[in-house]
Amino acid sequence: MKKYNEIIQLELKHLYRVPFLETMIATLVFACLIGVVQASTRGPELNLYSFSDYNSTHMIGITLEGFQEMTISGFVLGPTYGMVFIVFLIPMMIAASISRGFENGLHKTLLSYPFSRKEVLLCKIVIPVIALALPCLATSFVATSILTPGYLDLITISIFSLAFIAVCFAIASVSAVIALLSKNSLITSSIGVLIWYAILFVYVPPPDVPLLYGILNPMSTSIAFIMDSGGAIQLSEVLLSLVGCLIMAVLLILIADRVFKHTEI
Amino acid sequence: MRLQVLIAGIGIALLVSSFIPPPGGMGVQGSIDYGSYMIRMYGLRGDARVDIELYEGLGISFYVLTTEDALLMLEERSIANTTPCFSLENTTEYSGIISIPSIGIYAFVVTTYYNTTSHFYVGINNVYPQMWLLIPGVILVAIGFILFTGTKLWHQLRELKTYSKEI
Repeated sequence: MKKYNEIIQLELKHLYRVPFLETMIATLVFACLIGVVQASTRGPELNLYSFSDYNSTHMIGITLEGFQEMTISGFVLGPTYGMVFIVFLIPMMIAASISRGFENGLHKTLLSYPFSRKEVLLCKIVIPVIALALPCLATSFVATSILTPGYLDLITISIFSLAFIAVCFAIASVSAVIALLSKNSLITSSIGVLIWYAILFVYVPPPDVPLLYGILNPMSTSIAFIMDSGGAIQLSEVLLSLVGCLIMAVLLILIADRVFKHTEI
Repeated sequence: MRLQVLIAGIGIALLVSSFIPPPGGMGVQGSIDYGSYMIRMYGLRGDARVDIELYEGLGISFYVLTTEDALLMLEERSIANTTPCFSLENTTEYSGIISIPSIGIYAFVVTTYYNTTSHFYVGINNVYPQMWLLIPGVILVAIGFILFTGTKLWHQLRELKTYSKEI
């Protein structure tokens, strides 16, 4: 753990200089806030034609459901707005970290310390994911808790947060493989951004979500599940897409590790 | 150094977002018959500006209820036992800012006052800047700035001490 900490410190010192990372985090906080505020403005709409001809229990149920839907939309929309920036930022950060490392000799500097290539690569992938995903989720959670307290449940928070982090890991690992194969920062950032924009912004409505699409974009299946679009998506499908996405990310990291081991620096 | 910049950066993000209204307005609009109620629920984050216009009819009543009161109204089928945060009865026109007790979801209830059909518009807008974002934003920027300046001063003092010792 100490070694990872040292690598992260070196990366932060040499690559992510002040205020590069801080500005990105502040931008993401801003985007998330806009999303949460937008979604948590509109609540349920009721038209009562008279106070005598409606079922009050049913009406209260509809109202409470409306409050919950409003809260969940806020929690989900914040990081979704953040994702618009993350799809750009992660491939660029990976390109700056891995591809540029071959060009500016940062890999040589890092490997002159007693760190293995695996440790260095893992840190380079984890830094952008943690630095960008966590502020998004934290902002969304805090803002939703302030605006509409008491309507957010643990299942929603866990499923969406895991899906969001899984997508970030997948973006980072794909970009890492491209970076190691191309050793070119322009190719890494452009291909990484284009691939993930295409995947994340193609909308496949439930229930016809193919498994491969679910694995590539577990955020979409998790949103469909927690917003309960007519029960079209089951929990098993969400878990399958989540686990699939994480396995894909791990496999890609293993591939990147093999490539990095055999790459001359 | 990093932490100070991060705190100030997040503060600036809060400050900027406190001035940005969300797309899509809030409000209640339409025709309403005597004895009917039109209820819209919106998340309010501070004081709100309310504009009422009556296009047709003699007068409408307008109430702003908290979530608890809105649920009580639905349960009891009457607005009588509720304590509206703001109410206007038999009004044809209004424009002003209403204060709400805390951030939360509020119900905006419109009904006719006379036994006639009323055609009306009630516009609701949050007052900007939003204080729940502005105040923490200002505090974070101030903390970031103070920490940043303090750290710089402390480093300079330390350098000065080392320099004077060397002399």
